[in-house]
Amino acid sequence: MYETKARHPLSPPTPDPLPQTVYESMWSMFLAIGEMWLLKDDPQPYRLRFRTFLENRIALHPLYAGYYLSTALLIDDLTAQADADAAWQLIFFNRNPLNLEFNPSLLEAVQTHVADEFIARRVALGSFADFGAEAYQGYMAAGANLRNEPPHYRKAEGLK
Amino acid sequence: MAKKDKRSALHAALQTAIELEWSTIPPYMVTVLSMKLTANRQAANLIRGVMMEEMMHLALVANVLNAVGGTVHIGADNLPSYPRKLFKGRSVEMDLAPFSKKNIETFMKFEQPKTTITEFYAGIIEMLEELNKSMTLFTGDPTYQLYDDYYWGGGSQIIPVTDLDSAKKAIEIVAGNGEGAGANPSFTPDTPLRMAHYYRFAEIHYGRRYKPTDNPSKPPTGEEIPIDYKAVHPIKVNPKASGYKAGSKLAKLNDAFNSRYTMMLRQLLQALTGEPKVLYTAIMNGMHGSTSTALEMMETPIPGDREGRTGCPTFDWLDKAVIGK
Amino acid sequence: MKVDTLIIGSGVVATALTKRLLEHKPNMTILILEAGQRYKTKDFGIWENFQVTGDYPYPQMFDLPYPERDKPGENRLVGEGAQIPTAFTLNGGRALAYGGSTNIWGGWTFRRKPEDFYLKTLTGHALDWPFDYDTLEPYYCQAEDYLAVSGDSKVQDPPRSKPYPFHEFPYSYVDQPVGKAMAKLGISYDHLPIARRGVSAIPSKHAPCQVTGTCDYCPFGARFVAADYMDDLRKWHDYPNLEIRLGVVVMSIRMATKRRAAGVVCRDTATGDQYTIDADRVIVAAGTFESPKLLLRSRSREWPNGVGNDSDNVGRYLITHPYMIYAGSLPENPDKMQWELNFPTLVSRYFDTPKEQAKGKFVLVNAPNIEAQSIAQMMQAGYSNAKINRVITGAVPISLHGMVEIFGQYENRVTNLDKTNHFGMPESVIHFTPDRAALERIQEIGKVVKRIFEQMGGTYADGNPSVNSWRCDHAASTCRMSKDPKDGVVDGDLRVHGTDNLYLCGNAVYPNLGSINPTDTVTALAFRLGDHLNAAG
Repeated sequence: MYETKARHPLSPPTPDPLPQTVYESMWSMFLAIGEMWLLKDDPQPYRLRFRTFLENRIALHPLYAGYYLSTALLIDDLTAQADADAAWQLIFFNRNPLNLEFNPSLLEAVQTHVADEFIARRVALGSFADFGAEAYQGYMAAGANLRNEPPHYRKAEGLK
Repeated sequence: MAKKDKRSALHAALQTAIELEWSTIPPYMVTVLSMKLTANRQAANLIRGVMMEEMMHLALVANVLNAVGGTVHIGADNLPSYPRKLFKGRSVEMDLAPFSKKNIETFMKFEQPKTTITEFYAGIIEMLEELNKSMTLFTGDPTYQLYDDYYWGGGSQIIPVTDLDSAKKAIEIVAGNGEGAGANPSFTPDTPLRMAHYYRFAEIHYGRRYKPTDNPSKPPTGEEIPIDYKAVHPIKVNPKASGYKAGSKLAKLNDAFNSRYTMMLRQLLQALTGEPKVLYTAIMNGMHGSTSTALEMMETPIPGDREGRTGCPTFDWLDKAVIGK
Repeated sequence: MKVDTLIIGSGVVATALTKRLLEHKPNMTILILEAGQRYKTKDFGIWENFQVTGDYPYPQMFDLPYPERDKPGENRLVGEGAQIPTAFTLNGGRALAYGGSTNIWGGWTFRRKPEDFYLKTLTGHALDWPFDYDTLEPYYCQAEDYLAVSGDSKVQDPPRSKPYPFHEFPYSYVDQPVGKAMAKLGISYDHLPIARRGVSAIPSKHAPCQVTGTCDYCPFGARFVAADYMDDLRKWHDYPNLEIRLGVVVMSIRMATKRRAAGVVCRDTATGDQYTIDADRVIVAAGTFESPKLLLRSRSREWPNGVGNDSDNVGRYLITHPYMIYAGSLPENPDKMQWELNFPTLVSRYFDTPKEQAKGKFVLVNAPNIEAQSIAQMMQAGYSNAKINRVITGAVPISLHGMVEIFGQYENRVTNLDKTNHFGMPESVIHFTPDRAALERIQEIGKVVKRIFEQMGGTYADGNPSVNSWRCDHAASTCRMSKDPKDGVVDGDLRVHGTDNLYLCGNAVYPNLGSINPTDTVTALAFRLGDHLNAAG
């Protein structure tokens, strides 16, 4: 009933906000997913849910604040050395066209804990629709099985 | 009045209705959470049911406002604060207060049938009917409408609004008239979840349930409801954030509550302005995540308080980081 | 301490039974002892974690895997079954927790058919049940209300006296080729009845399914999990004498006399303290493995082989469903057909008939295969937009899942191991050798599936079934019902033979499984047991 939301024992009741610059950097990565994969959905409506997602990750796993900070620093570095596009190419497609010196395990951490999670979240929030489906694991929409308004997945036709 | 002005007046009235419904929710929630459950379980269930329906009413009004081309507004500038006079000139003042005979009487007064509020909703229906005759009124984007997917646990449905009939039906439900049954508030002891809010509070006030054979203008004569006004957390009435010492446990909990409440309101606004599916996050993450914090505050004494009172969330707008629009 | 009723286990049986007992006598003292812990349901943060990582949120409820050379593990599997990698995988196959295995189940909710109660009479296998379908039918209705099942009430095979509480989910796009192929072959199919709450005129504080696709950790609690309903009993009702203790392992049942159970000896795993509890009656609802193990451990002068075990049936006749995944593929997918749901909507019980009973009835389900086309996973692997579209529209994997009935063998059994697992319970030894006939039957079923795939225009993979697991969560029969005490462990009222006040309820009591998932039936049995106990006073 009124159970406390799951929270790591080291997490305070109100998570400290991420520094604004880190937050904006994470949001820019979230937007970049759309650019890299030519996604047609408008990401702006996802912003509040994205913010909730970051707060929940940190509340559950305090180390995530560090992952987000490190990712922001990595993006800054890569952008300064080349441009933002190079950063996204490296992080999302694992290419290293500029032979940058970086800690490979940092890249792995960024990919596993940040990039891959943002991809999973974004796809579930609605980007999956670009690939022909109308529902997806993790997608929340008007899905109740109402008589006058069936759930939103694609239906079979011609089955009895 | 020019048509355009009449339309604006309708929008303004509907926005007022949204604020009205919104402003009842924190007082009901605080009352419910203040009640210690073994003693007051039935009464708590009754008030919780009313609170859930006010949320549903808010959604219905939003559906109407969206359908007639208006825009819902929920923000720091129209955030209800308490004590709050719920209608200009009316003597009903709602507090964030613990369960008590007095606060139940206040709730009854607020929900009383055949009053300013009933007239207010009747006025909205008149405006809808008049405008519908003289213009294409229902111009809103249908994707803004909320359906029943988003509401469970109560006695009525959220109906999408597309025309005058559905708009009137929606307002009738909000006005507590059941489903368009006429000017009388629904007195339905057989289906308690469809009974007008006034009667549910009356049941608590009199400590008895209504029977279908009872006269609605007289006290109920049915089964007793156990009530214990002493089995209540002694929370501070109408708390202010400044009342919690900076850095204290209650201040931190209050911030946690307000952060989550604020995000919930932002997501609610987004849901009511074209992105209904955000409502899931607002409910499951926001609402369900806040109540335990509120309860923890109610169980925490305010240090140095001479009356031994405990904490209560202040329902303030609190942005912990600037999101940007 | 002394209680009216002591229940061992806190899964769906304990929850349904407790509900029925307390509705009759709200002040009854009921103590529920659960060996595991409680895991928070419907938490949005935990849900997001599951959604983005894919990490199954329940590892702490599971046994460790069987021992391997470099890993100590837990439990043992012996017999020829030990050579099957996916046989009786306890790890992940059952949940030792508040709410039991409904924390991890898929919610498929089928009724047995009338012939399933007469297996011995009709085929010579196993035993008949001591009662028939008609006796259990009203309880199936109650079970389906309780489990919040969405199903097609027009289906009257088996017959039903009341509709499902919620109507069926529509067939999804991925059902289309399967349904059409089955229809062409004259194989009937129906909507799969599933424990996903819907919306009806009756309001509920539980949310309806929103087809979110993360059923394993439903953010809404729309998939029935007994933990949520045990929470209801504790928090939304005034049952002053209901108590649940977590982390308590029952070591043995104490008998005051040969016939009369006095209570239990249990251990608090947090403190290591061992203590006794007295009870007017004891209900064992600890699952198919732990229930017989408990009886076997409960030795005394009166019961030298364990309570209820004079006829040497406790732990024996272990059965389950072989669960087969037959894989294949369609050559192309121009309509971008994808698994949008994470539960099945189409099932064929065409082969679940008296005609098929002697060889083993089976069902076929068009079950989700999300992994094959996960957009997110392809993006995470660095596929470009174009490549993802090529994969989606190219050859698409298809599969059909099957479950077949097998028959109990005396030698297949579960016993205690003299080692303690990390929950503080004695470990299990599962003795299992599948019989030849069952293995042949599985190949025969493959031939049926092959015809369906070919009718769809697809190919049937070599080496099918690609997966053949003998599922722990469908394990049954280890304390089977019998009329005659020498044939089983409990009678038709689920009372342990030779005792007056010791009962056992769970899949363990089934003399046979039929071809379908057991939970609808076990919930019906729990309500029936509740009525029986309430009538007995």
